[in-house]
Amino acid sequence: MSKSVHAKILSFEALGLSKSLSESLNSMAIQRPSQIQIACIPQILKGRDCIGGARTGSGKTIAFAAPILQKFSEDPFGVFAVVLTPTRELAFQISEQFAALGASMNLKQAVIVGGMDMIAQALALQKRPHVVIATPGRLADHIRSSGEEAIAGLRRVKFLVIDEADRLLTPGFAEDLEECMNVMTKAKDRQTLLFSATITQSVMQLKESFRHIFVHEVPSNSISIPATLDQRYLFIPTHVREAYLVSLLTLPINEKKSAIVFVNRATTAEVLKRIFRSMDVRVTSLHSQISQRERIDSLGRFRAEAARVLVATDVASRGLDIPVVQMVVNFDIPADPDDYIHRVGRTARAGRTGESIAFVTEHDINRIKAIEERVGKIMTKYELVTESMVIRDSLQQTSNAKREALMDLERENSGSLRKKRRFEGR
Amino acid sequence: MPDSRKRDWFATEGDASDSEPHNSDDQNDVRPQRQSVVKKVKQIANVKKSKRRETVDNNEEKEESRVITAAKGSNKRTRKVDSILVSTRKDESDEENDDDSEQEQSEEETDDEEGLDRDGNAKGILRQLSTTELEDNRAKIEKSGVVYLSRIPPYMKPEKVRQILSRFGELDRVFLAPEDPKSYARRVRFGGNKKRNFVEGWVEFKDKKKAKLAASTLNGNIIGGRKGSYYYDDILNIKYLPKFKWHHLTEQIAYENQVRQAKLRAEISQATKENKAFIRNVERAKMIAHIQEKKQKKQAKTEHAVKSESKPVPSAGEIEMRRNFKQRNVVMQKDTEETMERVLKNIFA
Repeated sequence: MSKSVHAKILSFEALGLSKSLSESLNSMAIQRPSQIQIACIPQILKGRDCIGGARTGSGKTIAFAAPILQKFSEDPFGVFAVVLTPTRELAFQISEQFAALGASMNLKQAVIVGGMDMIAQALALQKRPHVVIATPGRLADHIRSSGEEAIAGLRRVKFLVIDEADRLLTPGFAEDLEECMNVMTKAKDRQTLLFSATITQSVMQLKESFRHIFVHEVPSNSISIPATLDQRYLFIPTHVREAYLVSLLTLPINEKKSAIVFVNRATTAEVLKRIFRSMDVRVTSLHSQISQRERIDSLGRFRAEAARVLVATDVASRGLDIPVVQMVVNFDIPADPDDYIHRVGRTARAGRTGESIAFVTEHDINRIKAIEERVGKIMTKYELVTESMVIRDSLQQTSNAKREALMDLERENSGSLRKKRRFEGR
Repeated sequence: MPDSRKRDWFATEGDASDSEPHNSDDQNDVRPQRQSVVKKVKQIANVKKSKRRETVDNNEEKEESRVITAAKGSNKRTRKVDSILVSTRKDESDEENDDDSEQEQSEEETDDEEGLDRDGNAKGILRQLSTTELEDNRAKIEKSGVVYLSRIPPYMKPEKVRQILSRFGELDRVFLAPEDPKSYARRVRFGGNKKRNFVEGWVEFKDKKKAKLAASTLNGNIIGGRKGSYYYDDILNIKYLPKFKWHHLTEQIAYENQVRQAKLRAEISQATKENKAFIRNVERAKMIAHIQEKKQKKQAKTEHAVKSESKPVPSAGEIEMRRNFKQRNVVMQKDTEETMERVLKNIFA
């Protein structure tokens, strides 16, 4: 998409959306379409399949939700569209977007995700909601066990959206995805839309075998990171990371900022949460080892700024749109550079500024090099946290808190995390 | 004679505690006034002591011991399950200032005291028991017996359990394990009963014969009593625990606590060591950096003097590689599987 086109199209109506839709978009304070919206909306309205890649926070959800609702208003029926996402929180967020957009057309939707009551979901599916937003695992579970009435609606689906396509189109989700697609309409009778900030090679290869697909690519690698993001790193030994983290987040200039701390394991998230709690930082955590209700609660707390710091695993790395996040800390460096892109994409969304800090330990050199190569940018050192500051303020305190937290966790779970599955609440 | 008196007391108490509100009021009174209760405990410590020594014949004293257990009960409720057993100690630690009351601590309790956190504490110095007292205590423990209740009727309180069982003989300590706080929270959330529920319990009889009698009589039978009473139809599940004394219950927890404390101490000292190493390294790094800076300056100076175009040679310290760390692997592209390929093929056609 060239800049001249971007300048020309100033409203959603010019893209072919109905007046009511563009009005409800305006009421959501979305006045001008973004690049990916300009590119994808007309093509989807034309009835083409689509692969959409655009950097994080650039309005991909609207790019598929708006044309779907436009088509839906022309011919409303039973299950019209199915949206598949990799995480439950993302499903709820997309559902909110659909609700806001479709308020004027009396849109009914169902969120089918794990960790919630299955029978209630089966009943909701039987009522033929207009839009189903689901995680593949639970939807496949319904297909297997909830009976024909529940899934009959899925057989006439007009739209299938696969959000975060590169994550969903991996072997981990493959079986569930296949099961879902088997009951749905054949590909030629439905429109299939794939969206992600990072599109893998295997997905891109589809373009060659299917000529009819419209592809909106991320122009080059560097653009998958927003330009307003300030990327920094701290090179520190593994065992003092916690102290650095505490120092970093309690710096006077960071004291008011909302931050997400990404870790690689649920246990780490839980330990960090306890450390912060003992330091009187308003903190909450989001990972797979707490119940779904607690997950929703803690995300809600963070969104409402009742908690300043969110310690999360990769369940929060994709898609979540929380405007208040000003800082992303990578406490662990992810193995996949794409995950890094998604993680730091939680901040600096929709033109806002943001900063990201990666904690690079002695074991992470290769990983950080791979990330820098993928992002196409060399990170700069974060200078505000110094060794002497850490030693003076937080080192001993944090290490004590950490040991205590570890022992408490061990006692509560008395054995492996998997065995007991859940942490104590609160 | 004592038996008849007990029955008498039982009847009156039974009438009083069958009406639940009275009982719960009693409870509520006790809770905020725990401090005062503890004081009361101090005052009556002498009485309590004599009560343990001889058989009690006084109704009033019974009444007071009930207050004590209630206070203990309220203690219990505020703690976690595993720490409760130790809570009976709490009252006694307050008594410690009172010289007379020290004697009343039985031998096994003294052991526990020492095993617990008051090890080596000046406050915890206890008067040595005389040989006769020791013998006395040992005999008492020998004589006592513990019964186990595998289930407590819904919302039955320790007082009620005490009341039911004291029909058979004098009781010493009662412990009921409260239900899981999660299940309590769940029940309350869904509009259930807000009263505390207990799941199992242990009761110590002063005389094990009486304990055996109570177990064989009550086990598998309805509680009975007044026909309309709340627990009339409830069945008790009660077992005498042969060769089991009360200290067996507390020992385990005291031991676990001790182990935990020791472990935490060790962990923290380990952490301190690591921190010190880190601080040392930081200082060394600063020193080396400083030296190198100086060296470079010097080098630059001399180089400038000798030859301006030669490149600055990195000093030895800079290129010295002290240690190699194992690097974590980078996962670039996930391998596609058979199913994955099928999915990708079917996705658009």
